[in-house]
Order: sequence, then structure tokens, then C-alpha cells
Amino acid sequence: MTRYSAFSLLREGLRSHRGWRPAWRKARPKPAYDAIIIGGGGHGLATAYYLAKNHGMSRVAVLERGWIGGGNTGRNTTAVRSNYFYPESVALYDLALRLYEGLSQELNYNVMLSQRGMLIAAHTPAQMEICARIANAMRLNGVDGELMGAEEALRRIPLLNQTADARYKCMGGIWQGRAGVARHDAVAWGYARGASDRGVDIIENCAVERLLIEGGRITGVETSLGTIRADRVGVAAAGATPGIVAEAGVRLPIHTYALQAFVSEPVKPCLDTVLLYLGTGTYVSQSDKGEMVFGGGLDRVPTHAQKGNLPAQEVVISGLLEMFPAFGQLKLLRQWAGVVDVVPDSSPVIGPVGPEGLFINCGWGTGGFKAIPAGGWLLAHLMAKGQHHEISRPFDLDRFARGRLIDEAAGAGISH
Amino acid sequence: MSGWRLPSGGGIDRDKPLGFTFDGQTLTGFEGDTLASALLASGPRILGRSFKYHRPRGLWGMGGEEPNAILDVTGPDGFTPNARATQMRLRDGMALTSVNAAPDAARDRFGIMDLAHRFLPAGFYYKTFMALGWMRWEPMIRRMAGLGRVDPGHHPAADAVPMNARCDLLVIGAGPAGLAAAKAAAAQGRAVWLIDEAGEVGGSLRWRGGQIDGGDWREFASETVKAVEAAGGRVMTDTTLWGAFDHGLYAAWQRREGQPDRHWRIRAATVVLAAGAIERPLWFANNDLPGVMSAEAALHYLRLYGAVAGRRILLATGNDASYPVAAALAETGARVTLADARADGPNAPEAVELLRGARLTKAKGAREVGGAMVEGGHVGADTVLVSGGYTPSVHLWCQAGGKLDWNAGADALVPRPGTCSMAVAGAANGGFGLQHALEEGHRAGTGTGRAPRAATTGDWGLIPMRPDPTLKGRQWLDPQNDVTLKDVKLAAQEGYRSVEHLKRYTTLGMATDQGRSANFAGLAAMSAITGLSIPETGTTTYRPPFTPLPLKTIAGLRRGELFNPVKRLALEPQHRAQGARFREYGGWLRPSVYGDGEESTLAQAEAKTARETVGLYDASPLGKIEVIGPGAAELLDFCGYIRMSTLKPGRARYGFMLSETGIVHDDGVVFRLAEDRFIVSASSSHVASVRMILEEARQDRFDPRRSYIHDVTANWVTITLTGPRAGDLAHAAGLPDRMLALPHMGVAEGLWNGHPLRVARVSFTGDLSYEISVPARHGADLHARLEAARAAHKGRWIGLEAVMILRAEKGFILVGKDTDGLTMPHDLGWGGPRDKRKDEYFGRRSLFTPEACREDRRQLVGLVSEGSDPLPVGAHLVASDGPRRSLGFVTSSHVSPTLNRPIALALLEAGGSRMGEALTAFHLGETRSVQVTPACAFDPEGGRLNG
Amino acid sequence: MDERRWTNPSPEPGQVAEYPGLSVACAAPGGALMISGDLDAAISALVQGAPVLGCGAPAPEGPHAIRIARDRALLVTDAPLDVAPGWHGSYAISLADDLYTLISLEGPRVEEIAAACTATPLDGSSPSATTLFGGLGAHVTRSGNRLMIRVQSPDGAALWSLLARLAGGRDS
Repeated sequence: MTRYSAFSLLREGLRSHRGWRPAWRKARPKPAYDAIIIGGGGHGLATAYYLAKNHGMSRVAVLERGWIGGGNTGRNTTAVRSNYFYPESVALYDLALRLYEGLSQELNYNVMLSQRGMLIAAHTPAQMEICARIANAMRLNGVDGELMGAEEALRRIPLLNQTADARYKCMGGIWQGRAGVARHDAVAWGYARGASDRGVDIIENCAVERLLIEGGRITGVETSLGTIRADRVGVAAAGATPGIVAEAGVRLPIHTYALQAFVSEPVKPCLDTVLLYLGTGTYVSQSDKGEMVFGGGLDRVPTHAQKGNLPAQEVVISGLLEMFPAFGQLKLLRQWAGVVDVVPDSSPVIGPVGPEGLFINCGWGTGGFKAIPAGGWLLAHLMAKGQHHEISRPFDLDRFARGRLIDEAAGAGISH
Repeated sequence: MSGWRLPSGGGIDRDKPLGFTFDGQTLTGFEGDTLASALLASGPRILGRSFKYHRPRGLWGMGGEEPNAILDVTGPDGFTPNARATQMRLRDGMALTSVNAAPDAARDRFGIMDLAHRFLPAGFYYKTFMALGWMRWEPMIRRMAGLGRVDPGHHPAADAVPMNARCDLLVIGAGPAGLAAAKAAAAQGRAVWLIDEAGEVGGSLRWRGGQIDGGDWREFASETVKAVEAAGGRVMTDTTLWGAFDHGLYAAWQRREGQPDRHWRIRAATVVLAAGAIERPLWFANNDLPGVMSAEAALHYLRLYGAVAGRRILLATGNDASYPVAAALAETGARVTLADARADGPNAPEAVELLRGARLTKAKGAREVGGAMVEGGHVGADTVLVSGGYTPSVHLWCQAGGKLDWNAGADALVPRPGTCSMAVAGAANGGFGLQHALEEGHRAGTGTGRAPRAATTGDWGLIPMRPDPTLKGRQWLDPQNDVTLKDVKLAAQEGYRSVEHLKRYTTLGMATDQGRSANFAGLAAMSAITGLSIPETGTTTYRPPFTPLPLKTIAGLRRGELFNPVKRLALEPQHRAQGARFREYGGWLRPSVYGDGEESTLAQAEAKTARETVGLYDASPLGKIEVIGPGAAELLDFCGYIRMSTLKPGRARYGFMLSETGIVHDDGVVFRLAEDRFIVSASSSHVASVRMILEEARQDRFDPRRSYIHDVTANWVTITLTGPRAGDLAHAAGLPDRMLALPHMGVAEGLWNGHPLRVARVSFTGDLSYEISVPARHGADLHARLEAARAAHKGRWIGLEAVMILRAEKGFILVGKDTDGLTMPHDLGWGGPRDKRKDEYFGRRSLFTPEACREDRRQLVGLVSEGSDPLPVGAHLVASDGPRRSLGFVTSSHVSPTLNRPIALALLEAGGSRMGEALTAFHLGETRSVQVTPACAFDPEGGRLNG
Repeated sequence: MDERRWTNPSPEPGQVAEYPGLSVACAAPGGALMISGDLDAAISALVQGAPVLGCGAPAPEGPHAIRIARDRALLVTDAPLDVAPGWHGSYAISLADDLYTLISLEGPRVEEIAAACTATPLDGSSPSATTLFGGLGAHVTRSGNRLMIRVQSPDGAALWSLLARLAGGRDS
């Protein structure tokens, strides 16, 4: 692979960029692999990368029915953070954040990680109490969490509504300095390039039609490009996962909903952190290009269409303008929706299911992007070693039968 | 400046000149001008700079496809960043500034970026900025990014009005096809809504003109408008239909002179899409120079505004439609050369120099057009107009789920019939030409009889025009984002070949013109590189909005007091008169404390009075959900953790409602007033969800005819008296003695002063307590009676902050504060029903999972600490020595005026077996010693309940 | 930072607000009962002949039942009825005399303002009179020229303010 650097950019610039190679090989499927990953989004690609890098497995294929990174990885609002409450969650999301911190260097692909900080803002004393609870939990779990007061919050976010008419007066909230944003497409492409370079086959436009199971074991998959054999299959296909594993007799407690996101026309920098406001339920950051990137609650109608509807838009957009009245000067440029796979306790499902050799990593709901490196790391561990890493164990499907839910939303009173 | 104004003609009023400035330069336009037409006629050519390389940019088009003329505008309506000059009307005194240029567009310092363009191709930022970390570079890059700026002090009013409507037929676009459809439908008496983005109907007829049914098109248009209105329909101009949503819902943005925008939500039974088509550019070296414009736009400006693009015009084309444009421009006296890439075509228009088989290969000039190269040689020109064909505006078709087919004849992607319920007509359907539009529109409007007839059939011959990779020099596909043909080649080379990857990698089509000019070029270029056909290459997804629209239009009125309005108490005026301060609790506006001064000091004093004599508080928001019917008891037994069927009429019992996962969802008292009548008092923030749980069980599990659920919370005013003198005060206020003689947890109803009264002896404070409920209209009277007697009994109005102290002293929980997403009833000391009940109830099986049976579950305890400061709520508890692991956290904490010391409640791992143990409370790095106690800190025997 | 001060009070019975083209009035409460179950039997027993109304349907001067669900209605009377709440054989009654605030709209702009508040056709065609009006749960009927909107009393202030914004703004 041609190494990316300012030097190589300079060199190639002088030769009309003739030397750049494809970022990942457009592979044709081989008859068999050591492991197959279904789903070419961030999690699937990261899994392939870590299988190769951490476990020396390169006879691996990633099967993607469309173009890589075209699902939720390409549709989110790009926030990365680990400001969670339960130790299990903190371990998971902070593993991801720590991996993000070294990712550009590791992959030699600039994922544009901007750790500009995130504030979860509260407007009542009761909410501030919950924020204190979470900030302390973060600290005890070894993660940077602060309880920020109103003055500091307003200093960092000067455009926040401070008028007499404001519906919600910011009292401060939970601040995580290491939180921020990253460029979502770059994460997918960077992992793809890294995996491909280590020998992984990335096969696009390849839809999995059936799992092949013999004698209680996975033996491969049937695809639109033919049969491909492997005795280890990992499914990281978000909302499509329940459908794929259903025929293996696996039932997953997942509902899929549309989650919309929005982008304004670009303006000069005027918002320097990521903000989630409890009162309005709207979250926002400003992209490096200058666009306001924002979103809010789900469209609460189960769907697989990557579309949303008007009522949710009105709620989210009015929430943004309530928080930032000056943004009434902005225009909506783009809107899109992902399909989020929601689990009753809002925590992912990672682990073996059904026949031997079948593993899933799904149920990330509205919060999968921030966890991509960890999801990949942990699914790779599972597939390579046949058992959980200690960080993924609590997220096994069996937690529902055991009763050990990791209910971040209910526990913290905050949807994540 | 090369544009100029005709002495007459166009829809402007030359008697009303308007002064404005652009980058400080004073200019003049006229009433009726847009910013674009005024600048074209009299302003400088360089209106902005491109995003990455800061190359000079000039006006390209006439509408939403304009990528370059983006300005910050200060006008009578305040400040608007990123205004598109083609879509904003000129007003007197407007100040326009260019964006993303310093000091201004003409002299932008960052123009030198273009010198480094070789090293800044598409996606260059993915290949570098890694060694020192992105954040090292980000501030500088952010400052250079962004177009206009937000004015921090300008808060546009939340005044856009949402309007709901239904219509039989929605016609999107009032050009020839739309007018024909509307006319045909109106003739059948159908209610038609005819919508157009422009300020008047007509679409392209406005600048191309045309004879319809033997008369000028304006006659046809005005007849159509009359017919539509007579049939009960509506014609809306200055209205952009921007989104197609599920189930026939369409969103439209209506702009009105001197009034707030309207945000229309239209349910249309049927739809005709007649949105027209947009002219494509041509691609050649330096095609981004100011002075290169759309030919169609040039005709638009000429006819509508009397503004001529230049004096020496080269018009390069590959289709017939450009010929009338050349003719019209030549009539103004401008020198016009028409270069047709085809060997054959229509006859040369009068006074136009025609070059056949002549492709434009290059525009020349340093910062503006100074000439051009056409195969065969140099052509002198100050303006280059181009036409690369037309792209049908199929956005809304695709938004509604429709698919596209490639139509080689039209050289365009057109709607695939049968993939969407919309009808499509005219240029939007790939049929260019007036007669075609009229016929197709007529059919789409389910017209009977013959369609309107155009004077000429008008051929629209064309050849496909494509970017030519063999040309030397940079060819621009996306002028705002600086994406060139070479960038597409690079993307393909690096494997970003799918349309979505191409778009995201190069940012082609992601500028504020939403790729109207760029997307087709990118598609065509990628298709040529990969060898796949255009339909095989695909197309990016079309999503709302059709064109950028103000966020405030969608946000509507939802701001301030209209944003999630709080519920209000019936006695709010009375509380305010008493000096109450208000806070939002659980969606209700309720008194927090009464009086002036420090809140916690007041709360302490109120709680003290309540313990010593009597406190009065407004408990109206507490839910009153009546459950009535022969099946009521059975329903409540199933939905609740504690059985109510054993409750006798006239008695009350504390209960819990669990979620299906066994977690405490709500707690509250249930009153039984008769065999078949209960009142469930849910906590104020959970009334709706408790009612839903009851309703779901009622409908799904039981016979719904045997029980009914009525939430009548708001029908009643409830005032609670609490304290040793509560009974005396109630008596002095005239409440009936028989009710005051109720035992603890008794309830009674009756008449009082001719109206219903209910009294319950339940206590949330641990003291003698009466909940007195009257219908809300009698609340003021109850308040007055209590007021009259209050002072004599040393009573005091108390707010919720004091109530929270009182209940905390007793270890009474607030669900959601002293419980979290894992708390089960046995964690709170209520393990009895779990152990004893054999019948099925909601959440039961979750109470017996391995997790639910663990010994070390978090349980409710009390805490004592040293000193006079209360523990911070949210502090975590850790072992005094050993690993720093959270064992739980403080959920409630107050200074108790009753005990004169701090008290606290907490959820603590295996709390029940840690009584007396010493632990450490951790809060933001600081620690304090605490000791575990039972949750109830005051009067654990309950002796104070009876006064 | 100080918390929000809410300055828009709940409307009082008899209160009227006049705007260009619209008059908004808060009616004095009469009487109302929430009834569920066999509605025919309930109406027969309580107020014989009271019609059951859908969304925006015209109400008579006297008692009428505003349909909420298949088996639920609000029985509206001029004054509170002397009836015991509870189970009555085949139907349930709860006192609801003060549950709702009744706000009426009158004037040439009624339909326009209503269109800004709800997407439900207000011509009686929907069997249930319950809808969202200005984002608030409401029962909507008509009386003569007036549009009658019942919202739960705690929401009265919100509706009153919304109508003031819609009718009193620059809009026309």
C-alpha cells in the first residue's frame, strides 16, 4: 500500500497523482475462508482489520450487499464519547475512544478525530443530580468526566440561549473533554484499506441470502455471488441482523426504527464542542466544513426504509433553534435517516448465537459509530478465540434471560 | 462588469430605483430585481470565491441551481447568511457581502491556495495531518471553511406558521405542463392546489414565451388560475414544495411579502409533478471563470429583468433550445457567436454568427472571461454562455420512492413509470418542448377532450455532451466545492467508484446547490471511466429538502413558552399571591418554596413548620386514575405488585407498578371507594405511562367490557395538610368531622357545601396528613377557607422542596430519584409480595432471574455523615479501603430541620446487610466518611401518623 | 442561572381575547361526565337523546356526548349532573365537570387558525372528536359559528398562548 503522508502527497502532486492505488481491493469471492463477516459497515470492517492484525487471520472475507460504509456508518452525526454510567458500558465505549485516539496513525488514514469535548446539558436541579451521578461513575471507572457549572458551560457555548424567554436555562452538565467527533466515512475507508492491505477480501455488491448450517455448525453462506464456505461467521449488519440469523433459530430482541440527521448550510466556526441538550433532546456539533450537524429522537414507527417523516423533523429542528436562536439564520441543506436497531436496554448484543461458529455484533441502536473500534476488536476476539473478551461478556444475548440488563437510558434518565 | 441593462423591457420598475451595496461598492437596481439580476446588470462579475482553492466565482444560473452567488445580506428583515442571490428580492438599502473571502471577493488573500492545487486534490486531507494529529490543524482549517457567518446577536423570530391542508390534486410546478394539468383537472370540478417556486405562474414560459391555443401564454395562465380558484382550489406562488413523505404528505415553504413564512403540510390524494428541468453546464478548461453562465439563465435575465449578460457573447451548445436564446441576445445589440457542437442543426438566427461542429474547449482570462477557444480557434468574448442539455427535476419523484430509467433520447434519467403513484409531465418527465408539456400535463390532470395546443411543435434535437478527459486544463464539475474531472478520475483510480463513495470522497454534489449541476457530470464522468452505463452507475439518493430552506420555517412557533409547555395548577394565582416561586416538576409548574431568600433556607423553615404545626401544599398533579367495573380489582391485581383485591372499600394501600423487566416503574397509593371503583394515584410524571400499562392489560389480557380507566387527574384540586395540627386546621376550615375521623389509610367521599369532596388520610411525610380533594372549580373556595384558618393554627404553605425533605426523613422514595433502571421492589424492602404471591402479575417472572436473586443487589439505605453539610447527591459510595469500585450512590440528600443534621438516602450494594458499616462517599475527586443506616431517619415506628 | 419564568396565565372562565378576524373566549364550565362502556345505555339513563359527536361536528344547545373512543365519550351538560360516579351495570362514570377548559373560536379566521392547529378534518367526518390541537390533546366540536375546543385544564394556558400567537401576530 502506498503510505499516506504529506510527503507522498507532495510527491504525487508533482506526478499528477498517478501513483495512488485503490484504497481497498475490489475482491472477488473465493470458495472458502477462515472467517466471513457479514456487513461492510464500520463494525464489520473493523472486525476484519482486527482479525488480521490482532489474530493473524487474513483468510477473511467481508461481504457487503451494497457499498461499504453505506449503512449507519455513513449516516450518523459522528460523535465519539464514553460518558456512560455503568462500568460495563464505560469499559466498552472507552475502549473504542482509546482506539480512536490512535486510529489515524494506526490505519495511516486521517479519520479527523477532533476531541473537542462534549457537554450533556441539564436545566433542572434534578438533572444536575443525575449528571453528578454519571460524572462520578465515569471517574471511578477511570474515564475523564466532569460536572460543569452554568458559567463554564456558557463560556464554552456562547450562542446557547440565555434570553429571558428561553424554555430551558442551562445549569451546566456532564463534560467529557476527550469526547468529540470523527469523520465517519474515513473510519470505514480507513479500516477497509487496513484490512485489505493485510489480505482481507472486501466483497461489495454481495448479498447474503442464507446461512449454511450442517450438524449444528455454521459451514458458510449462500450469496448473490455464489456459495462461500467458512466455519466462522460474524454478523455485523445492524438492522438486517435479526433477519439473517432468524433462520438459524435465533431470535433477537431488536426493533428497527428510523433515526434522522440533518445538516445546515456551512458557516464560519461558531460552535466548538458537541452538545446534547436534555431538555430538547437535540444534539448538535459543527463539522469542519462549517455545517451544523444535528439530530434528536427516533421516528417511533418500526421501519427498514432509510427515510424519516416530518413530525420528528419539526421536533428536532425546533429544539435546535430553541437552544440556539441565532441558528434561525441558517438553512437546512440535507437530511437523511439511518435504520437503528434498538434493543430494550439500549446496549448492544455481542456474542455467540445459535449454531456453533456464528457470532453477532449488533443492537447498537443510535450509538454505534462511537463504538466501531471496540465492536470490531471484540467481535474479532470472539471469532478468533471462540470466547468473549472480558469487555464484551456482559453484552452477551444471555443477559436478557439472566436479567442483567445494562440499561443506560433508564439508569441515567438520558437517551444515548 | 460586463452585464448591462436594457433601457426598457423586463418586469422591473425603472421608476423605482433601489440602492444597495456589494462589498462596500454602491450600486443601483430596480424594484422587481433579484440580487442576482441587479448584480448582473450593474455589478462586478466576481461575487465570491470557491470553497477550497478560493478561485473567483461569478453568477452561473437563475434559481436553486446557483452554486456561486452566495452572499451575506443585511436587509430590512435582519441579517441572512448564505443567501442565494438568485432567490432573494432586492430591497432598498440592502448591504451584500461576499463570503469566505478576505477582505472581499475581488481581493481575497486566500486566492494563493489555487497555486497549491496540485497538492490539494479531492480527499487530500485523508492522506495527511496525521503526524501531529488532526486537532493541531483543525482550528485553521475550520476558519477557512464555512461560507457566510452567523450573526450572534440576531435571533430571528419563531414566527413561521404551520398550516395543515388536504387537497384532491397537488400540481407541483406551474409551467406549461403544470398549468395544463391544473386546467384539465379544474375543468372536471376537482380541487387543485397549484404550486410554484417563482413569484408568478408560467415556469419557463415567462422567459421563453409561447402561444397557446392561439393566444399569448399569459391568457392561458390567467384562465387556468381562474378555473382552479372557481373549482375550489388554490394557486400558491413563491412556494417551494420541498419534501415528499409517507402516505401522501408533502411539505411546502411559502414566502409572503411582509409576513412570516408558512410551513405547509399538505395531504394530497393525487399528485402531478411538473417541476421542469434544469440546464446542464458544459465542461471545458477553466469553465469556472466568472462570465461563464447558463444560456437559459441569460435568457431568463434578459426577459424578466432586462439584464443582458454581456456585450460579446459566445454561446456554446449541443442542442436546439439554445438557438432562440442566441436570437434574443442578438436582438439587444450584443455581438453573439453561436457555437454548435453538432455538424447539423437549425438555421442560424438573425444577426448571430453560427459555427457548426464547433466544440468549446477552453475559456480564457485570468479572473474573468476574456475570450474562448473553440475547435478551430480563438473567439473573442466577454461572456460565455453554455448549454449541455437538460436534467429533469425528478427529486420529489425519488423522494416519494420512485425509480429512474435512462432515456437516451432525452439524454437524461427520467421517472420509471409504475414505481410511484405520482404522475409526471413535461420536462420533468424528459419531454422537452411546449406541445409535449401541454399534452402530457393535460393527460396527467385526467383531462378530457383535446389538450391545449402550442403554436409550434418545436423540435428539441440534442446530442449528448460529456466531459472530455483529453482536454488540457482543469474542468470543473462542482464549482462551489472545487471538484474537477481529474478528481473523479482520482476517485475512480482509488476505488471510490460507487456514486455514493464518489460523492463522499470528492464532496461533489454536497455544496449548497445540492449537486444540481454537479451530479450528472460526476455520474457521466464515472460512467465513462468504469465503462458502466449511466443507469448501471446509479444515482445518489434524493432526500428532502428539494432546495435549502430556513430552519425556522420548519421549526414554526415552537419556542419559549410554546416549547413543551408545562402543565399549570388551577390554584396558581393563589400560590403566586402567597409569594410562591415556581419550578417545573414532572411536566407541571409547581411551587418550589414560598417567599424571598435562599431556597434551601426557606425549604428548611417550611419543613420545620410542617413538623411542628401544619404545612399545606398543592398535591393536585398527583394522578387520579379511576379504574371502574366488575373487573377492576382483577385488573389492578395483575398490573400491580401489591394486590388490591383484598382492599376494603374506604381504605387505601400503597402499591408499586413494575415494568415487564421487574423494575419499579411507579409507586403510589390506591384507594378503593367501592367494590368496583378504585382510584390509582400515580406520581405526577408517570400518569400517562401508568394509564397505558393499565389500558394495555385491560384491552389485551382481560375482557375490556369489565373495566374502564379514566384519568381525571385535572378534574380535582387536591390540597394536603400535614403536621400535628392538620386535623385542627381542617376542622377550622369547616371540613366534615366524620371525614376527619378517618383512620390512617382511610378514604371517604361525600358532599360538602353542595359539591363533591374526597378526603384521604395518607401520608407522604410521616405526619398526620389529610389529602383534601374538591372539583377544581371549588378549589379557590377550599383555598380561601384554609387561608382563613391558617394563621390561627400556625400553618404555612410549603413547596415541593420542603415536601422532599419531609419524605426523605422518612425514607420514602421518589421513583426515578431513589430508584434507577435496575431497582426492583425487594431492593426497597418490599419483598413480601414477591415471596408470597402465587398468581401472575406484570413483571413477575423478571423478579426471579439469576440477577434478581443475587445477594449483592443495590438496596435502599440511609446514610449519616459528619459535619453540617449534606452529602452531594450523585456521590458514589466506595469501600473505605480496598479497590475503588462503586458500590452505589447517594440519591437524596438534605439537611433535616427535624433532626438538625444532614440525612441521605442511597442505593448500596447489599445495603441491607451493611447496617452500621463505614464507607467513603466519593464526589468529583473529594471524599467523606459515611455510615450506613436504615432509610427511615425519623419516627420509624410511625407514631406521628396519628398526630 | 435563574429558571424560566412562566408569565402566561391560564385563562379564566368568561375571559375573551379579541384579535383581527378572531375572537377567542374561555367558557364558564358547565357539567361533564366521562362515560365508558355501553354508551347508548349511559346516554339513555343520563340524558336521553343526547347526540354523539365526531370531530368538528355541530353540537346542539343542550346536552351532547363528545365521542372519544369506541367505548368512551364525554357527556356535556349545562350544569353538573347529580349522579354517583362508578359502575352502573354496563357503563362507568367519572366526574369530569372541571377536567377540561372550553375555549371557543369565532370569526372569519376560524378555519385558517384551526388549520394551523390540526390536520384532522373538522367537518364531523371523523367519528372520534379527539385529536391533537396545537400539539395538545383536545376534543373539538362546533356550536353555531363557533369552534369549540376542549383541552385538559392544565393545558389551557398553553392553548391560549398559542392562539394569541397565531391570531395576534403579523399573520393575516
